[in-house]
Amino acid sequence: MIEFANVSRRYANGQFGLQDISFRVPTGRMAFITGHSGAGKSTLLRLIPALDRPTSGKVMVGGYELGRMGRHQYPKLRRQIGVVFQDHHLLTDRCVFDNVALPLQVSGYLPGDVRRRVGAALDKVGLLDRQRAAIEELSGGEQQRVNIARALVNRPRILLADEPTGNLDPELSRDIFDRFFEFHAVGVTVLIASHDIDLLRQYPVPRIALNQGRIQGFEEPDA
Amino acid sequence: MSPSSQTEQPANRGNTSHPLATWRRHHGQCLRGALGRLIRRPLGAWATILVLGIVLSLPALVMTLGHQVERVGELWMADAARMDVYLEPDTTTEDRAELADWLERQPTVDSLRAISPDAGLQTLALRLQIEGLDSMESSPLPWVIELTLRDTRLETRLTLAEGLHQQPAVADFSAGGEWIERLEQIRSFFDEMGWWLMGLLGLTVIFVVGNTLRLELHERRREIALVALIGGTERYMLRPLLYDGALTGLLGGAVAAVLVSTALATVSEPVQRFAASYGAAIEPATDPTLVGLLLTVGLFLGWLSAQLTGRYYIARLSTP
Repeated sequence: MIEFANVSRRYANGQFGLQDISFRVPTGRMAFITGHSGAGKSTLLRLIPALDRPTSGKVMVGGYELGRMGRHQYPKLRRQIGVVFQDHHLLTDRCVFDNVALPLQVSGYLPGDVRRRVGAALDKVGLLDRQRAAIEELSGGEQQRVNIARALVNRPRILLADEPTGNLDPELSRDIFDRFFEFHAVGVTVLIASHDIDLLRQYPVPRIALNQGRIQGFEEPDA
Repeated sequence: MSPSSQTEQPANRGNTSHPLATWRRHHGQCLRGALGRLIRRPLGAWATILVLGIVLSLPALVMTLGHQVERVGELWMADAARMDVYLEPDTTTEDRAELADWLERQPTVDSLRAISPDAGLQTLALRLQIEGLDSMESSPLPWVIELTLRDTRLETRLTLAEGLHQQPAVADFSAGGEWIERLEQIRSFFDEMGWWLMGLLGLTVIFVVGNTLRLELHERRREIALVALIGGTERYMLRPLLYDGALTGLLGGAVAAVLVSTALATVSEPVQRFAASYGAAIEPATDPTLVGLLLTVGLFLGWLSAQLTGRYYIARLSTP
């Protein structure tokens, strides 16, 4: 479960990134966060894995209240969360396999299990035959699929995606969203931030609309 | 990884290995990684190592110089196994017996011989070949106890000298006392200066290694931020850096040892000639303890620098 209670994030310059945000996404559910660029989508997502702290309010994630957590507890929380970014955050000095294996190595998986799980994850995103390829050899869509494989290889309980289809064409965007749905179908809580309202409307998922750091409204799936 | 298999192994459960095995494996990876980075970037890495070597070799050279001074002193002293103890003019037979008894109990004293004022005067007259000197009514010389020492090392002589100073019957003694003390002062000056330099230049090492690692961290900031995002602990992120720092420091210490050995080998011949002119034999050589000290200090300073730099920057890169 992800719960925000009257959460605000104010920056050093006095500007609000988020203002009095309250919502709840139950365990195993999926939700979209919509809004224009600068609406506060990324700021909101960064609070969930404790990459940022709210100025006020309470953020609860999977039973943890983030405000009460010490720094040493962040790794445990973050291993339960998979994150997919628009700009991939891939390590260009490593091959596809090594990028996807990273979360498993960090969690202390045995080398044999790492190979098996990474192979399965890459197979799922259709990149098994490119596992030894350098990141720079891949197209934007392929890089995003590596990003998804890395986010999911550790089998997280929560999946966050920040503009996951920002640079992709509509067909690839739908392909990426289909993969998110596959993981949501087996109980992963999924939260996707995107400004592409036309794409989001194609899916029967509730939407949280943000505008200038405030919740503009909750939208139920179009009938 | 089919969707159905998602429910089999949620995060943090299942096939992780024993924490100790994971820890050992990661240490192995970090060591290999540090060696790999050293090989991949030989110029930058070896430039830092060379600087460390030069910086660490300076105090080591000063300490070696102090050690050599001590050796010169000991070699000169080896020929002077005799010490004369001059007694106060008013000492009684009991005082002399008591002192002789104390001296015989000193482990460094091999044998002793008491020389009366008259006997001393006769010897003096004989040595100076002055007629009539031995016919003086009363000898102006004091009682002297001539000691033959078993151990002529500087430290032992100084201990004996300290003891003699506390004996009320003793007026003075000739053990080369003053110049031994001066030599000891010079030696301790070099020793202290060596440690001061080691401390001062140790700080330099910390900053040099720290700056190199800071640049390394800057290059790897994306990786660190990513590892933090996927649940890497600070220790996990810090470990590769500790290996980088320790390895750099260790190699810096090794370079310093080579530089000191080379310097000693270069001055070996002139020093031997100089010592021979004083009838002594000195062969300057690198002290194995010093080599061990350089390696240990280099490794420790590199590790410490990585701890300080790494913790600071990793905390900034990985936490809000």
